[in-house]
Amino acid sequence: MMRHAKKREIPIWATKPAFIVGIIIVVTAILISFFPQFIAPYDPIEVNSKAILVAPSAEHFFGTDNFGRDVFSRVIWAARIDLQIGVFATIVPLIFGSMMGLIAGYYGGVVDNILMRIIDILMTFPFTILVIVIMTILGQGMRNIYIAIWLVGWMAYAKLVRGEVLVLKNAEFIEAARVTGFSDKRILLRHMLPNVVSSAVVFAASDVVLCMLTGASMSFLGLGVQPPTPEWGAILNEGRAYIMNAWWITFFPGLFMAITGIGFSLLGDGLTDFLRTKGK
Amino acid sequence: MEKIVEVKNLVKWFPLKYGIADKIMQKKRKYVKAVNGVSLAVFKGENLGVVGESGCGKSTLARNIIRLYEPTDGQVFINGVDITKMKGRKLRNIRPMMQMIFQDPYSSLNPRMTVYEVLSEILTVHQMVEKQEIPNRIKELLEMSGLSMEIADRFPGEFSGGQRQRIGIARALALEPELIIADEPVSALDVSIQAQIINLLDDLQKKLGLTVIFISHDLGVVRYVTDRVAVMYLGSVVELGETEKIFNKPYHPYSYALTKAAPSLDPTDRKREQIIEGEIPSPINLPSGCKFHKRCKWCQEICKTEDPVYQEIETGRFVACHFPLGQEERKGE
Repeated sequence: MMRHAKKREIPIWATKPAFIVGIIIVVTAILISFFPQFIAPYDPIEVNSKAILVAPSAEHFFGTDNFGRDVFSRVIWAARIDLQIGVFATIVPLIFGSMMGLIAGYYGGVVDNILMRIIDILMTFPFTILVIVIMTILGQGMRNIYIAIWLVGWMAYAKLVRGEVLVLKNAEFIEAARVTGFSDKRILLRHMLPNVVSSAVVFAASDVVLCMLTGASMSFLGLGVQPPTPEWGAILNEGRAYIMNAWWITFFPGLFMAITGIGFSLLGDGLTDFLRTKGK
Repeated sequence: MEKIVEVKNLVKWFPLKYGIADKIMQKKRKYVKAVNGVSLAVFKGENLGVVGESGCGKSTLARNIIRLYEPTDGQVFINGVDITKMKGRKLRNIRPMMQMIFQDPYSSLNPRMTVYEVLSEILTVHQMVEKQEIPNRIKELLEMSGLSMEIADRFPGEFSGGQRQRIGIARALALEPELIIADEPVSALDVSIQAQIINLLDDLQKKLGLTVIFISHDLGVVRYVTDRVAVMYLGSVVELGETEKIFNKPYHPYSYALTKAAPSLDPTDRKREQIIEGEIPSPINLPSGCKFHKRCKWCQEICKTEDPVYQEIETGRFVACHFPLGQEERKGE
């Protein structure tokens, strides 16, 4: 925390190319998910008995599946559902978990102890296993995917934010805010939150990938979206039986998942540097 | 004289971690006994110094008076009102009249708020001035602290230690307090900057008629700015009185050792014999009897078993010692 050296003006794309690649991928994915109808040449659920298991060609970029549906159109339309799962399944735990971490860390005592022990116990189970268990109890469907991920996902944020709050709690500027006579609510939201939330936001960027993959896994296992809804995990699952003679059905949704995942990860990494240097 | 702060028998113990294993082994609960029965009063308009080695409970005492901590026992009165157990809105309403200047200027400012935001938040929340008056008042506060309005839109990261401390002072003044507790306000600063900040505080105290509790381990600074001084050792006040009198003629052996340990500018006055020996004992297991007996060269049998009473042996001069120094000569006078 030395006095600022004069900032040299280097454009951000030159210093952090990975961050820019991440942004480009994520923005593209979001655009695709908002306007699939302008990109996809066919209806994703339209069956065509004349073009079954056609290999990739100029007419069908990614080929067709066993019902003659255009894989390219299905993969494009699936981006909407998968990104939706990724984003919404992350935002709710981000907000709720951060709040819980803030409260537990600031007030400490019994509340903190109980909350942290519950989290410790639940966190010993692998994330996906817990989600599968909850899905089995709730039954299949999109709504239940969200509920299951929300129930499990907030704990990581609570832990993360609580740790940061514990460090900051005794910082003199928080003591100063108390001496000034500010309410706890104001201290928590105006003084504590902006200083602890950055690591949670960075974690959320990579958590999007995890949630997206969890959603796809649920569909792959038949617990998520119902056929014929296009969803990357579901397309993978449907194509599994034909993998020996029609590789394109499984290959392309897998590729899209991987690229989107890498995009969010790069974005998360870039945000880390960005938020860490800002305001210091 | 009017008492602005009165502390009666204040005790603050911090519990050490007491795990399940300790409970099973039936170990005794342990405490860090930071403050052990301090009584003192601060009069309106004066500058009271609190001195002592690191870890003697100076800061803990201050944080209890300003109610960042809740005292374990004893009472704190502010303008005659008992604030010892006050909570919530009531406490928040009394807070503006006592403010604090912190030791570490690098952690005492929110890194994500500009100077303007810091000050305007305080002025707005406590409705100190009319809304349209806020920029003027901020300008006034910054100028009072030796800064200018030009720096208002910057973040704390852009300032030096001395400037940050000035911002801290402006923040403390924003609420127009009667009492300011300065917790080692200059010990984190470069020596060249220390004098500026000390003089600024001194000027502000005179100009605004503030009462100041000045905590420091720098005896030179304390002698320069304070009217009265309280010497603390292991969580207790061992001597309290007018600054010049204590520095010229300390009664408690610890004050004597402290004043002699302070470097002197007079080269002929370099006696090293009185430099205090040993380390400060652990505040977890306090020594029996007089807490200073293990390091006192005048220690007698009674000192090892009996805690001396803290009493007024002259007007305005309190000492906790079985054998205050210089008493024999006084009797002979």
